[in-house]
Amino acid sequence: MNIKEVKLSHIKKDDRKKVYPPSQDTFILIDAILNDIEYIKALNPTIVLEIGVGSGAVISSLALNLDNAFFLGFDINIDAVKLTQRTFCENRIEMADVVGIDILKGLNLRNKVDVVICNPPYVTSTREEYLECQNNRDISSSCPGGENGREFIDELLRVVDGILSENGVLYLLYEEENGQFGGINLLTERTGCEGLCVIRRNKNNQTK
Amino acid sequence: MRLVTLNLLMCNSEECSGRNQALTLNPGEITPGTTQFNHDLTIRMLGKLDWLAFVNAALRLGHELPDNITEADHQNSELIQRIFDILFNVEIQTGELLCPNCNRTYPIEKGIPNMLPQDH
Ligand SMILES: C[S@@+](CC[C@H](N)C(=O)[O-])C[C@H]1O[C@@H](n2cnc3c(N)ncnc32)[C@H](O)[C@@H]1O
Ligand SMILES: [Zn+2]
Repeated sequence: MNIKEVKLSHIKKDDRKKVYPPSQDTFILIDAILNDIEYIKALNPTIVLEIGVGSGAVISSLALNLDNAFFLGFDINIDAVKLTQRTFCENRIEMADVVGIDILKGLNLRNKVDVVICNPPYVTSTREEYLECQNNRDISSSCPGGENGREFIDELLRVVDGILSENGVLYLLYEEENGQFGGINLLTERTGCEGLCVIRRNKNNQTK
Repeated sequence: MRLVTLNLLMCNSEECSGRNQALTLNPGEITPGTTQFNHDLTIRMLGKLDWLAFVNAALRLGHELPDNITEADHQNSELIQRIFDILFNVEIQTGELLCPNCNRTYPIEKGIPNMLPQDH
């Protein structure tokens, strides 16, 4: 199979100061999703949403390898949204839009999204730091995930269960120490990295 | 931002969450898109849209659409192509989204809607 690789050379030092740059976890999520591309194609998704796009590397990687879908990128950091728009442009991805939005503050999209992708803020922090960083709406919102690094993830799962379509799936990256969230583990020893997990999880974690 | 995205968004304030209130578009600069027609995607997207909200938004940009779409219309390639063009090939570069429920407004700049609160 011919996998197209995302171009990221337009991302410069200045961008890295304002936006979570493509990092080890970014590439692990990209690899896990592209390894699962046949599964995604079989779903024939209409709407693909990435929550917390950062630089846009993940959603662009999928968009380059999946036709016949519309791609939406959301982030709470407006600089991330702007950079993702540039990443779409650089990669000639047309079927995609970006929005500056806090996904914990109310989304439409009830039962509409077929694929959700997220590399969330999952680093263990105090609740105060997590809430403060969410409020900052800048690069500092990228990592702190609250107690056990799972406060954001727990809220995310509630939101995602509401927006996924009947056969929709969530691709979620997290760290072992965050706990367990159901779903199918997509990392093998070969593709993985110590401590990181990527799961594919159905709506309401029903096993199918 | 295209009209398809507008149709999928709602007011990002906790007060309005769960209301499914469509946002009103006050368009500024509009540019034509160049996305290639995709019949199958249009039909699948129709199943996800709030059709009336789409008809209203299209009307504000000068495009008239029927009040409802039937299965039979899916074979009408001229109509489906027109729906595609209004959904995907109208790029809203600047403007404002208004929530009729709480009267908050959200700016669209350089094609990006910003639903984040503007208090800092
Ligand atoms: C770990 S970074 C991942 C960025 C990118 N997806 C990647 O893999 O490189 C997490 C992203 O989530 C965004 N984020 C954090 N809280 C959010 C919220 N409440 N709503 C939307 N995005 C949020 C951050 O701004 C950040 O860009
Ligand atoms: Zn509102």
